[in-house]
Amino acid sequence: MTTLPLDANPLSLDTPSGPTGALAYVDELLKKPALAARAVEAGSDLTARTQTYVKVLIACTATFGAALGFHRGGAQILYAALKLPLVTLVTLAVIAPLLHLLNRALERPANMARDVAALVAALARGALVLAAETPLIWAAHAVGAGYHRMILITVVACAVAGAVSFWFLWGVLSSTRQSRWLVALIVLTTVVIVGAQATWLFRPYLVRPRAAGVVFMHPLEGSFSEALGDSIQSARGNYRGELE
Amino acid sequence: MSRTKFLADPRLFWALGGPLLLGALPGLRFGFGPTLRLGPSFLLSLLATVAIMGPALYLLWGLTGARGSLAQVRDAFIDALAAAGRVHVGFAPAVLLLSATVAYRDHAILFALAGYAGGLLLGATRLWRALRPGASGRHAAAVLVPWFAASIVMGGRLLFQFVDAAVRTGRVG
Repeated sequence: MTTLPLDANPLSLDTPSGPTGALAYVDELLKKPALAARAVEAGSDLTARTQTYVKVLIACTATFGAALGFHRGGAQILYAALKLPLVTLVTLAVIAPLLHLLNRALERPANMARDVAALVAALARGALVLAAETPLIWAAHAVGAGYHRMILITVVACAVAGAVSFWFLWGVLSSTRQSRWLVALIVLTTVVIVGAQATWLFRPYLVRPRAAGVVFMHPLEGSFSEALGDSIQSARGNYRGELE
Repeated sequence: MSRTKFLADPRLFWALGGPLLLGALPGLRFGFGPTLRLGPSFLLSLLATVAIMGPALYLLWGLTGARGSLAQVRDAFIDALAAAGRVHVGFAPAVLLLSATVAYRDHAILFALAGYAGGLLLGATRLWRALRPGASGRHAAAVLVPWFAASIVMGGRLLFQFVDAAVRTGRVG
């Protein structure tokens, strides 16, 4: 005859809330994003999850930022480690009300806490990807990649992280099919524009080789798209300063 | 609906407040005067378009034999405007950030206009969804698509005139 131990819980595997604890939340976000998305959608342990994801977001973006700062070294490591989490948090603060009001306007299920948690989880998953891509930055440092190549590698790394992040958000949005395309399109467009502007606002992260000192932020000038175009040209060897 | 009830309707606040807020934000880059003029510019162009094109929609909808009373069409219209207003308010933090940080202040207006157009696109989606059950898909498209096109041309022209006047000469209208 088989006996069950007294402390056994035969329903534990079916518990909808799933694993609990900070490490378990991170593990789930990393390995089983669909489960994490469902848990956020169901509102399970929303506060604890959101707090954990915010910490992950800050830690991972700070790690990636610090790796970028090593290109110049010194105070820039600290500056870049501080600025990249700020960029992500500013973007989050701007997008959260938009997502909530879009959901309300399109008669989709709207709950501010859940909408914020979904966005934080999506950004945290993207931040995990960024942290995973950090060795790529180290490798680029190691082979002596120039400033403009480093910029392009950073943009590609961030684009990959952004795509993974958006895919997670798409999973959450898809739990209600009504108007998910419209919400996703508007949110994605706004995230790209606001994220690019916030990144541009808090530059520099790598610091140009000819710059004499290190500053926390540059004054307002130019735009992200102009700078990206210049970097592509410069990486090909066409320097605007030399042409003009 | 009585006048008091209509004025207390929260949808009215969203519908009016959204464009007013979104319009005022890029004005911050131009000074106090343009801030006070740009908000009402967005709102006035919307109200003028609604006043002219709204009755036309009801007439077209009724004349072509689609189902829907005046009250239903009016409610669909107010719902759509309130939804657009909500989205305008949702865009406000993004437009504020972009307006405050872009290098060229004309770009601030462009971002506000993009947010305004995004909100109205969503409002149009709501209007389509509300009226769609009153007619076949082809019928609804035959009435609504030209109506949307005419509204965009008319409203866009009005908005351009208002915004241009507010930014360049300091006078609206």
